[in-house]
Amino acid sequence: MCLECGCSETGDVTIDGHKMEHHHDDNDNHHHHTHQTEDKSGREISIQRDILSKNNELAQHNREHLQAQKVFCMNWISAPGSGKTALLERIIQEYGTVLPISVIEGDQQTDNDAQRIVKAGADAVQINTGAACHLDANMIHHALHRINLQQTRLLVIENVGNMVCPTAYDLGEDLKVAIISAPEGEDKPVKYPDLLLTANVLLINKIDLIPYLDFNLENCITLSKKVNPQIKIFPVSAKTGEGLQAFYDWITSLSHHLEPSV
Amino acid sequence: MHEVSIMMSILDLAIEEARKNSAEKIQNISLEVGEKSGVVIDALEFAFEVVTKNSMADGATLIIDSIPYQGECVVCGHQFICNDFLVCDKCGNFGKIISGQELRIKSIEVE
Repeated sequence: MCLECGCSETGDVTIDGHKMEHHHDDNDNHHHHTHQTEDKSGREISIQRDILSKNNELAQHNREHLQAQKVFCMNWISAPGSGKTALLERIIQEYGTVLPISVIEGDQQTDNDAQRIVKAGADAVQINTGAACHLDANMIHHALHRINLQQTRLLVIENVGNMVCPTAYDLGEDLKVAIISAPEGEDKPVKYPDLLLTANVLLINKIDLIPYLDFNLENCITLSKKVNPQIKIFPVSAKTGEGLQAFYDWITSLSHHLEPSV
Repeated sequence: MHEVSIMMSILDLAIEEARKNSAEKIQNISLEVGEKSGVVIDALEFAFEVVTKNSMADGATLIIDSIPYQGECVVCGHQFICNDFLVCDKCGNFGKIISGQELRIKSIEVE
C-alpha cells in the first residue's frame, strides 16, 4: 500500500505459516459518544478518539487474558541486529527453569528465529508480517491461541526489527523493553528517542565488545536517562552473560505477583 | 513508516462515524498529532491521499494540529518545551511528559 516502504495492513500476515484472518471493523459494539454540532450539510461531528483506539482495545483484551493466565509479558523492540534473539537464547537457557518462557517472534519473513528459540528450549510462535513494519495487537491475539499459556509464566514478544513503528502499538504487554547494542553507538538513545520514551526498560547489549569500540557506557546511560528519566537500564552481554543476573532478579521481583501460588 | 497503517485506522474511525450520522461524504478530517507520537506529519499527509482514494473521504481535506512536546519539572513544577531531553530548562532536574504523545481524531466534517 505505502509507496515509500510497502507498509500495509492488508498484506499477508502469517502465524506459523498460516494466513491470519483480518480483524474487521464493522462491529458497532464500541462504547463512545459523538456529538453533532450542526444538523445540515457541511456539519461537523466531534469524535475525540485515540486513532489507535481499536488496537488499544484489543491490546487491553490481550493484557487481561495474559493476566488471568498469570503470564508476565514483555514487548522487545530494537533495530535489526541488536542481538535480541541471541539474548533470548541465553535467557531461555539460564532463566527458563525459574520462569517457563514462551516467545512470539515477529519478522517480515522466515521462521529462522522461531527455530532458534525452539532449539534453545522454549515454545515459539512465528508471525511473518510480510510488508508491515510492526506487530499489532490483533496479530498477538491470534498468536496467543497457539501458545500453551498454562505452561508459560514469561512471554516475550520479539517485535520486528525497527526502532520507530513498533513503539506506537500497544500489544498488551506488561513491559516495553528497548534493546540497543554497543556497536550501534552511545548516542543511539538520542537518535531514536521515541523508543526510549515509550520503553520501561533498556538493555544495552554486547557490552563485551566495548574494549574494541569508541563507546562510553556511562555517557550512553546518562543520555538515556535524559530522554526518559524513568527508564530502568541493564548493560548486558548475550555472549558472556554479564549483567543478566540483575535483569533476571528484577523480572522475578516484578512477576512474583503473577505466580500461580499467590 | 507505519503512517499508512495509522491513516487506515483514521479512515476506519471517520467512516464509522460518518455512516452513523447518515453522511454521504467526508469533507475534512481533523487530527491532533503530538510531536512525540512517533508519526511523521508529511508521511501522514502522503498516506492520506493514497488511503482515501475511492472512499467516501476521496478529495477531503486533512487538518492536523501539531501538539508540542512539553514537560513539567518534578522538582520545581516549571513547564518547558522539550527538545529531546526531558530535563527542566530552569533547574536541570528531570521532568514528566505533559503533552506531545497525542494521536487523536478530533472531528470530521460531513455532508
